[in-house]
Order: sequence, then C-alpha cells, then structure tokens
Amino acid sequence: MNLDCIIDGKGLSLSVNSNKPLLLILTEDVGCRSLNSNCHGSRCGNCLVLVNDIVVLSCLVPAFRLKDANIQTFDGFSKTRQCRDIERAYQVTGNMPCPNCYASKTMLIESILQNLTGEHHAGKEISMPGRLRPQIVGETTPLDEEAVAKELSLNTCQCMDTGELLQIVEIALSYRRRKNVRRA
Amino acid sequence: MFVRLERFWNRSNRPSFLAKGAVPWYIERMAKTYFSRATILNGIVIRSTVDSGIIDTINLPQLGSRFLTIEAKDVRGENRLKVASDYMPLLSSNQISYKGQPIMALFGFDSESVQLKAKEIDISYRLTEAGQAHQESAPYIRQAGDMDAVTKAPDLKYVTRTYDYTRLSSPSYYITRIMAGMDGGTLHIVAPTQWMFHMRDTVSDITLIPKKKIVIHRTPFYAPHDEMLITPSVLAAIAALACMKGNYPVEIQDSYPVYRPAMHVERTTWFMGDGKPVADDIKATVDQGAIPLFSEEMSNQMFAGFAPPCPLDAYRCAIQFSSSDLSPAHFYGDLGYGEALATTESQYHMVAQQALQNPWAWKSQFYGASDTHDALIHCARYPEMKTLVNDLVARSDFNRKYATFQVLRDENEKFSPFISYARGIGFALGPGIAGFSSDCKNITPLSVQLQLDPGDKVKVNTCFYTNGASARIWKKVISEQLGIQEANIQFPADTDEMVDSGPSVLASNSGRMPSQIQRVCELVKQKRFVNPLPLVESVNGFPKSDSLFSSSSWVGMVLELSVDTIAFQPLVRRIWVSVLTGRIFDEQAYREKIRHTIVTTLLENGAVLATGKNLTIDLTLKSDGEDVGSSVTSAVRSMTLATFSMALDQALGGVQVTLPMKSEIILNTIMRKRI
Repeated sequence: MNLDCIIDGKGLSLSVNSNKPLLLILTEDVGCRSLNSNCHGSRCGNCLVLVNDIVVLSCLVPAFRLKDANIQTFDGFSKTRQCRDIERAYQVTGNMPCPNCYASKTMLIESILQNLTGEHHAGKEISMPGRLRPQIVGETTPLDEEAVAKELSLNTCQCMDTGELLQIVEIALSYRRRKNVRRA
Repeated sequence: MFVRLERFWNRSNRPSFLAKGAVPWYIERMAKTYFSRATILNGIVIRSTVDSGIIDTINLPQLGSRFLTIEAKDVRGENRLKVASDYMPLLSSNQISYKGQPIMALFGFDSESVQLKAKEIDISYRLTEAGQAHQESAPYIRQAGDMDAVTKAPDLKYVTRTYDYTRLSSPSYYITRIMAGMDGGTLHIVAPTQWMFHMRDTVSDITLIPKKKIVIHRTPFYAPHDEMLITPSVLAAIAALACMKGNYPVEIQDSYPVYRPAMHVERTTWFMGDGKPVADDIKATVDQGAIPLFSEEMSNQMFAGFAPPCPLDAYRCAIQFSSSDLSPAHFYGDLGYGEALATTESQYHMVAQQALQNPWAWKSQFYGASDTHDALIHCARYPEMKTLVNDLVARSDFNRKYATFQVLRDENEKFSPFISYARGIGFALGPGIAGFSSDCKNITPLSVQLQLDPGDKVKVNTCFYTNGASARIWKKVISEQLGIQEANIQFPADTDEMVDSGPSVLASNSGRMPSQIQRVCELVKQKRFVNPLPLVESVNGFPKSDSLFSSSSWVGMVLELSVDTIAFQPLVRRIWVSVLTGRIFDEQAYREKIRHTIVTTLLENGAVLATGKNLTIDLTLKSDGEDVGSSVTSAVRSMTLATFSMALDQALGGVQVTLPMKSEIILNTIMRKRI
C-alpha cells in the first residue's frame, strides 16, 4: 500500500505492506536510529513514538492505521526545545535512563507533559493499537503520582525506579509550565 | 564490562548513539557508498529449537533467486571460532548442544519476506537424552595452611552456608544489526562490538580473507551485561560469508540473550569464641552451559571474590566448572567476581552474627590486609576505607537499626499482614577490580606509543579503539602530565579508519590504559628538554604484579528492606552507598552508573523497590588522589547482592540464600518458622 504520513515534520509517501509494523517502517524504510528494540509485542516498551501526539508502542501499530498520521520519533523530537526541558530535568536530578531506553522514556515523559499541560488537542481520538492503558487526561495539580507511574510503566526497562522517574516528570513539568507562562 | 562507565555519555549527557554526529562520518559515508538500501541483503539466523540432539533433515522451501542461505558447508575456513584458548562452533550441521544454537542463515532483499520464508524452513531433529551432555572438568584449587589441623582445634565454632545464584538472562529483544560489504578486495564490517580484534580474527579464520583486508567500523552500543562480546563476531562472520557468496552488501539482524552462569557455593568458616575467623573452606560449582569459555580466568576472578577479608590460619577454595545442554553462559557484567564477593560478605556477616557481634564492630576489629588476600587482590586505601565506613554507618544509623531488627528477628508475630515488622538491614564492604587478572595469558597485552613532536604536538598510537569518552580522559591525562593543550594531542583513529582494531578487550582502557599513558608520559618527561625532538616512547603491556588483581576502589553499602507479608515480596526502602576511588573524570556519569547498577541488580534478583518517593539511594563519592581508580561496577553489584541477602536473612529470621529471590522461598521460610 501507499502510505502518506508525516514523520518528524516531513511529509513522506512510502510503499509498504499494509500490515508492516510502524517500528519496521521507521527503522528500515525511514532509517530511524533511536529505535533499537523489537519484542514483537508489548514487552520491552523501547519502541515508543508519538502518533498524533499519543504515545504508542510502534511494534504494535500496523501500516494501515497510519494514513495521514503525524508521527514523531526521538530522532526528530531531540532537536526541539521541548526535549531540552526533559534533558534539563535529567541533569538536575542526576538520573538518566540507560542508553537502551533513553529515547522511549523521553518520548513517554513528553507525552505525560503534554497531557498534564493540556497541550493535547481536545476531543482527539485516543484509541490506537499499541496503547495499553488510557492516558492521563487534563491538567492535574498536584501531580497524580499513581496515574503517572502507571503511564510510565509502558516502558519496562529496569534501569530506573519509579521514584526517580516521578521526580524527573515533576521537574520537567515545572520547566514546561514556566515556558508556557512566558509564551502566554 | 568496565569501559561502559565512561563510554556512552557524551558531554550533552545524551547517550552517544543518539547524539548528533554519534556515528563517525566515515561510517556514514561508507554506509551510503557500500550499503545502498535497494541492493542490501537482509538476513536472519535460524537457530535450533531443541536442547540437545542431532539434526536429521533440513527441508528448505522453494527459495528462488531472491533468497540466499548460509550453511555449514558454505564456510570457507574453519567452522568454529576461537575464544581465548577455547573454541565454539559457528554453524551446526549435525550435533545440537543447546537450544538456540545457530544452524543456518537466510538472506533476502526484504526483511519481512525473509522472516516469513524462515518460518517455512523445517528442521527435524533426533533428540538425545537430557543430561547426557553433563561434563565436569578438574577443579581449580587454591589453598594455604593446613586445613585439617587448624579445624581440629578445640573450642572452635563454625558456620556453614550455601549460596545459590541461578541462571539469569538479559532480555533478548534488542536488535543487533551488522553490515558487511566488499570494496575491491577489502571487506568492510559495520558492527557494534566490545572486542574488535576478536571479530576481525574470527572473520578472517572463517572466510579466509587476510586480516589486513578486513576493516571493522565500530558503531556505538550499550552492553551492561557484555552482550556485544562474542555473538557479534559470530554474526559478522555469517554476514561476511553471505556477502562473499551473494556478492551483495548484507545486513544481518539478530536478538539474543546473555546468561549469568548458575553458581552453587558451599562455604564453611571456623572462628573462635571472640569471632576471630581461623579457617575458611569453599566449594563452588559453576555451570557455564554447553560451551565453557574463559574458565581459567573466571576461576581467577572468583578466587579474588572469595578471598577472605582478614588473616586466616587455613584457607581452601575449590572451583569446579561443569557443562550442560543450556545456552553458553560466561560474561554477565563480570566473570563471577560479583557473586563470589557477595558470598564472602554474607558469610562473614553470619560469622559476626554467630559471634553475637554487630557486623560493623566485627569488621572494624578483624578486617585488614593478609597474605592470602594480597596474593589475590592488592588493595590500597585501607585507612581511608575505615573512615568511609564509619561515615556510612553513622549516616545510615546502621547500629541502631541492626539492633532493633535483630530483636525482632525471631519473633513470629512480625509476619502478621496487619502489623508487618519483618524488616532487615545489611551492611557490606568490598573492593572493585578492573580487567583481566595478571595471570591471564590468552589476551595480548595492550601497547601505547607516544610521540612528542616540535611545537608541542603529540601523537598517540595505540591499537585500542580511541573514539568517545575514553579518548577524552586519555587526552586529559596526557595534557596534565606534559603540560600540552588537548587540541595538540592526536590519536590516529580520530580522523582515519582503523585497519587494525587492536588486541584489547573489556577493561583495559578504563583500568590500565590511563596507567600506561601515565607511564609513557613519565618516560617522555625524563627525556624532554634533554634529547632532541621528536621523542618516541612506548609501553608494552602492563607490569607483572604479584597479585592477581589490584584495587584502588572501595564500595560500602547499607540496604534496608521490609518483607511484604501479603505479597511475599522483599520491598527495598533505603540504600546508602559510599564509594572511595581514585580520580573521577565525570562525576555525574559515575553516579548514574552506580544508581543504574544498584536498581538493575535489585530488580533482576527479585527485589521490589518502594514506590514513588519512598525509595531513597543516598550516594556519597569520595575521590582521592590522582590515580585512575579501578572499576566499581562489579563491586557495587556485589555489595547490592550481599546487602540484599543479609537484610532478607534478618527480616525472615534466617533464609536460604537463593538469588533471584522468589515469593515461594519467602512463603516457605515463614511457614517453616510458624511450624
């Protein structure tokens, strides 16, 4: 099938099998370097990308679900200013994911930040294959640690504990909110 | 295993392979030149699905011209790889020794169709009886003193414990991609590997291409359990064979787990009434799976871990290696040092407990240098270590907590699901080592040559891989030693491809390379301003020492946990760590690595971490002196294992040390105590 979609801000037209997983499209057809895992199912969580601003396990999303989708991978996201908020939080806490899950954990945190700061477009369809649980919706103050921890468990890499991750989310959130206030 | 600490973190603190410019420009260029996506052959390895047996038939589907197979008959040279002094088969055509043994590889122009076609390949086996393959080699033994005479002395007490470290595996879903392509007569291989020299030799032996015609381009990787040590060489060899047979560039993809060898240790320690240990008898059995590798070096590393931390009258240690029909297991972050040191710490903790002493007080009284210990590990910084330990004990309030939990130790009511007082605390202390032992003969020593040219330009020629954080550390050392700007120091590989990838494996760059650079700088300094430029000095290998290992780092750890009496899980609450080492170049990377090691080790071994902010890891680093400290990773891992088992023992009032810890063991212990 011919697949038209936007990957990291670039409009692409790809010829792929209709059931080819997004992970393989990104690694083989697009040449994405940040994804290095393929568990053929929801086991490792190291293949997370944003599809229409929703974080999904790319190994579970087939090509036919991606028509006109806006896909953001860590390769593209790492060049944005939003990524800097999360990386600053890593530096401030002194904790950082291991290289294997760095890209996925960063995308996951970005998705949580977008939800918590209300950057998602309202009324968007959030039913996607590769989503294991409903997302945190709306601006929550203070941080609903349980919901965030549940969302963070999408990535199963054991390099960090939940406490460290929550601390990172909290600090990144404060940076993001400050940035949004300045913009407003 | 020891180079991991510094390699993967670039200055912007993003993992190097995700950073801009992470892949060297010549690899990008070569990939575009030789590896066009349109013509590349994608391949996968087809592995055995049975534990042991003989291949009866291999039925291939109709493959056509779009597919290519590599089987044992396609191997041009030897169908085996040499690893140090041992051999392992490349592709099996007959005998299957373990589940997952490579049998053949299938290549095609599209990875999806290759995977679909691979499912149509039918391999039938004649199964052999399980357990037939078990073999045991002669044990490695070290002893000092007359064990029989010493242990017959009256009024001696003894502690006998067994420690079981079952096979662990790392996840197998990280994809390793290796590309091979021919350019004229030269074979280019792009691969993640920890051991470039081995990869080049293996490819040469198997394809019969001269070593000089093989260029390895190393891509960045992350291998916390030494995943990129031997298997990438196997894959590279298969890729090279396919490249030669198909006359196309190829890319092979594979994901494979690595295993920790199963270890069973039985240890008896005799001690006097005041707690002074007099003799230690250790019997260890290690199952390395179907293909035992590095057994001799592993025994050396385990001897170092088992070394008694105080002077003894008699000591005996026997390590027996066995093989079975399980997948090969050798390196798992280290070669058994971590587990061996954990048993030592746990054992002497029990001795202190049996002597009715606080473990800290006992350690302060008896820990010290001894001939037995010095012959295995020469440790520096004993006085500083004692200060470090005192600070750690004060910070964690170990003495008070230990006394409280000890009072609760034999209470049965503490297991009530309503008022859970099943708590424990452990305290361990041990040295870190780096690299192979000084006895290891199978690894060619690493050479460094330094040339000082007019205009204070320095050229460093080493066969070791010089990109990344290691090279930055080495440049810093040279810059400080010779008073030369870092910009004037050049490693040949900074700008050029390495035809000779070098003989070093694992640790040499973090543990020994800086010392060698310091030595070569000293030699240059002696001749500088006396002899005319250019000055060329070189240091070959590392000086022979009397000890198997030398250590300049100490790690102390206190871990507190409680047992969840509803879920029967050990819940780790607080961890205090103190590290004393030589010079630290990147403190944040060091801290991150230590935290990662602690968290990963605990989770791997069955611990549950307290959720949210209830878990704290209080880490103190003390950097002392200008020498580059030995690796602390294995020591941190070992201290985590030791403190976890000690705390669990106290929380449950005595438990068989079996790691990873399982709910059944905890439940059985509680039930036994109730009865």
